Parts: sequence; C-alpha cells; structure tokens
Amino acid sequence: MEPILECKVLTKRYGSKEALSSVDLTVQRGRIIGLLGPNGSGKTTLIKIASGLLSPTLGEIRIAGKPIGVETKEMVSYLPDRPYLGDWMRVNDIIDLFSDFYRGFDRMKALEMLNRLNINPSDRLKTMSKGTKEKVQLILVMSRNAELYLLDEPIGGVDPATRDYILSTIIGNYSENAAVIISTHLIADVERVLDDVIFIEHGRIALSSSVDGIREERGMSVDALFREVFKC
Amino acid sequence: MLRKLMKYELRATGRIFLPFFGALIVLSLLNKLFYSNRAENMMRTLRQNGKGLPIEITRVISMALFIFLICAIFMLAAIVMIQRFYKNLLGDEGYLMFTLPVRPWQLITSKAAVSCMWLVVSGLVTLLACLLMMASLGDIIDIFAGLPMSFRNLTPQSALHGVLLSFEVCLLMLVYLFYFILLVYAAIAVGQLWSAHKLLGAFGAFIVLNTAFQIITFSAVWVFDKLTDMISLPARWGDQHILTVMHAGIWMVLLWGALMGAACFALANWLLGKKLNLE
Repeated sequence: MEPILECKVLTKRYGSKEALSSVDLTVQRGRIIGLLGPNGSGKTTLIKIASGLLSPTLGEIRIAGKPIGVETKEMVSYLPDRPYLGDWMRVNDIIDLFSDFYRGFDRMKALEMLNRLNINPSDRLKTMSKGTKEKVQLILVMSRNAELYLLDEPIGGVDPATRDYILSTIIGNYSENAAVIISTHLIADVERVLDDVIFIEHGRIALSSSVDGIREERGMSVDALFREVFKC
Repeated sequence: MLRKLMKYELRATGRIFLPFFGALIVLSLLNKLFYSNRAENMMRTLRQNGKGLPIEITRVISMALFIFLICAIFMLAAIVMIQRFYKNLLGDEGYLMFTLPVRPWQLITSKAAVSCMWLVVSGLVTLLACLLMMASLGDIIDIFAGLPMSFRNLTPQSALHGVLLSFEVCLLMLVYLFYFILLVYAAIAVGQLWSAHKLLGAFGAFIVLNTAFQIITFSAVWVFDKLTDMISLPARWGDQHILTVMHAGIWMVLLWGALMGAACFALANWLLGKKLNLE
C-alpha cells in the first residue's frame, strides 16, 4: 500500500538557521505515530509543511503520493498548537464551516463529543477557557473523516481526565486506512496509544522505530528512552 | 468554494459594518428632526427666553457625530480590508484558512470582492444618510421625477454618450478600487516573507510596488504621447470625434488599471501558493 506520508531530503531554512535538514521519512497507514523531540527540534515545522502552511526550502513531500495542494488538504486533518478559530464565532458556526468545506466532516460525531464534554455548541469561543477551546478544536479535527491526522500538542493544555478522553477519542476515531501523527512533550501520557515513534533533534531524524521494538530491543519505555537520548 | 468563502467573509465583516450603518441612518434622521423648520422655530423661541443653550449643544453634537461617523465608516472599511487579509490569512486564523481545501486565488478573490463591496456600500449608505437628512421625501421624488424631463432635451447621440460615460466612470472607480485593494494584498503577501517583521515588510513592499507601478505608468504615458505625436493622431481625429477619443482614452486607462490589478493579483497568488510562511 502507498505510504500516507513520504518526505525526501526535506529541508527548511529560516534565514541561516536550518529547522529541518534533509529529512527522509515514510509513514504507513493504520499507525499512530509519536513525533517526539525537544523544543525547537523541528516537529512543528515538519507538521506545518505537511499541512501546507510552510513551503519547504528543498526536497519533496507527498501525501498519499500527491504533492501538497487542495487534494491533500482534503485528506489531512490538522490540529495546530494554538487557538486558530475566530473568537467571535459560536461553536455551531464553526461546525457549519467545517461541514461546508470538508466533505468527510461528521457533524453528528462532533455534536456527540461536545455533549460528552459538556460544551454548549451555542457558546461563543471568546467566552471559553483556553482548555475548552483546545477541546473544541480537537473535537472538530477528529470529527473529520481524514486519511492523515496531524496533531501538534493535542493534550498540552487540558487536565489529566480530559487527556484520557482525548486519547481514547483519537484511538476510537481513526480508521485502518488513516494514520495519526502526534507531536507532544507529554510522552508518558501518550505512550500507551502509540504504535511507532519518531525522535527528531536539530531538524534531523534521530530514531524511527515501533514502540514494541523499543521495549523488546532496549528493554525500556519510550519515555525512558527519550530522556536518555535527549539528556541535557 | 469561492461562494462559500465569500459567505463566511460577509458574515465575519457584516457584524462589524451593519451596526455602523444603522447608527448613521438613525443619526441622519435625528439630525433631520433637529434641523427641521419646526425645530428652528422652536429654537428661536427658546433663544429669546434664554433657554436654548442645552438644545443648541445637543444639535451641534449630533451633527458632529454624524460627520465623525461618516469618516469612521470609511476608515473602518480601509482597516477591515487590511486586517481581514493580514489577520485572517497570515495570522493565527490563517492556520484554518490555508488548511481548507481551497486555492489561494479563491482566498484572495473572496477577500478583495467583499472588501470592495463594503467600500461601495459605505459610499451608498453615506449618500442615502445625507439624502435622508437634507431632503424631504417629496424632494427625493421630485429629483427622480425630473430625470425624464432632463433627458428629453438630449439628442439620442448625446444621451448615448452620457449613459456610456456614466457607465465608464463607475467601471473606472471599481477597477481602480480593486487595483488598490490588490496592491495592498500583494504588499502584505510580500511582507509575510520576513517572518520577524511582517508589517514593516508589507509597508516597505507597498512603497516599492506603488513606486514601481507609477514609474511604469508614467513611462507608458510618455511612450504613448510620443507615438501619437509622431503619427499626428490628434490632428487626424479632429474636433468632431472628441467624444470618441474621450471614450477610447477612458477604456485605455481602464485596461491599464485592470492590468496592474492583475499583476498584483498574480504576485499575491504566487506568494501565497508557493512561498507561504506561516510561522
């Protein structure tokens, strides 16, 4: 089967600083992948290039064999690491917007998840706390029937109980045909849901392995390995 | 998708403009009341009794507010035009707009069309408010009723030129309005290449682009002038064709504006499509 994400010699420079250096990467469908690395390692840059928000300086990136464009945006569901929805909008307005633009958006699923987290769809975003806004964003992103979910720090700003719900939502909402890439610092929390991990450091892939492989070959958890690899 | 984008753009901007338009109409009616003949007579009596000052102040404030609101609406239209492109596309909200399955040209077109529409509507609402304030319903009916009378005295040929000229002037204003909006958008799109100084970059790009377009325009006018002199075109046309020459001139200026607008559009489209830098 064709990989869902493929990068070849992918490079991104900001002036003289290289945020991504010749990254070669292949991500298969049906996997939940942790994109892990310290601050400024290039995680967000990689995700933004795959979402079409940044143009690479060099190299090639393809989603399901296609270059980044309108077709790939239909396939990719992206959760940024910041609030990105107009504050003046009500949740219902944003649901309408997602239904209008994304063919695979499941309105019922979104309303069901909002109800489960006691979020009123008639509320305006500006009346919500930072954590609630993050929940709304995640619900919208996970209610899309996408082929690649790119989640940048999805659990950073929410309480542990909600974290569990979010992670179970992620597992429960993606199909075998899709892949989920989660970028996070909270490795211990997400480790149980990951199939594979990619360690990234100074814009280079430091390690790419399955979680089971790490446990069997190295006899340690991903969290412990991360602390060892990125020891300050 | 363009239709949907415009629908959301209208919704996002309408909530800003409509209260201002409503306030302007209310103020125009209030001023009409304050400055009516009846009010004037009342004021005269109050002045004689030495009690007119508070109402006089209210009248002045109401008229000042009306003028201030008109200025505010046009400033608002210009600010919203810039802010909707800069913030909604190149700020945090751009993370949504650029991940929607739409092409950059559709985003630019939706923003430009809606901005242009609000600028035109601002002009029309201001005109309506002034008419409401200054003229009575009878006056307005008289103006429109008098139009056929004015046209009756015209020859069919001059009427045709008049209609054509009105159409050309409207089109000219619209094309140059679009050109100006697209020039601002192109400058903002250039500015986003400098991630640390986006606004400064946009300001610099605006000056450079505007100067470049002016130099090109003056050069083109100079070349055209020399060419027409060389073949003695004005002498050949003669006075009897002066109106035809005027229409041709307007269409050339129109075409030139459209070309410059298209160049700005192409630049913004290329930058947002191939060089997007949402850091």
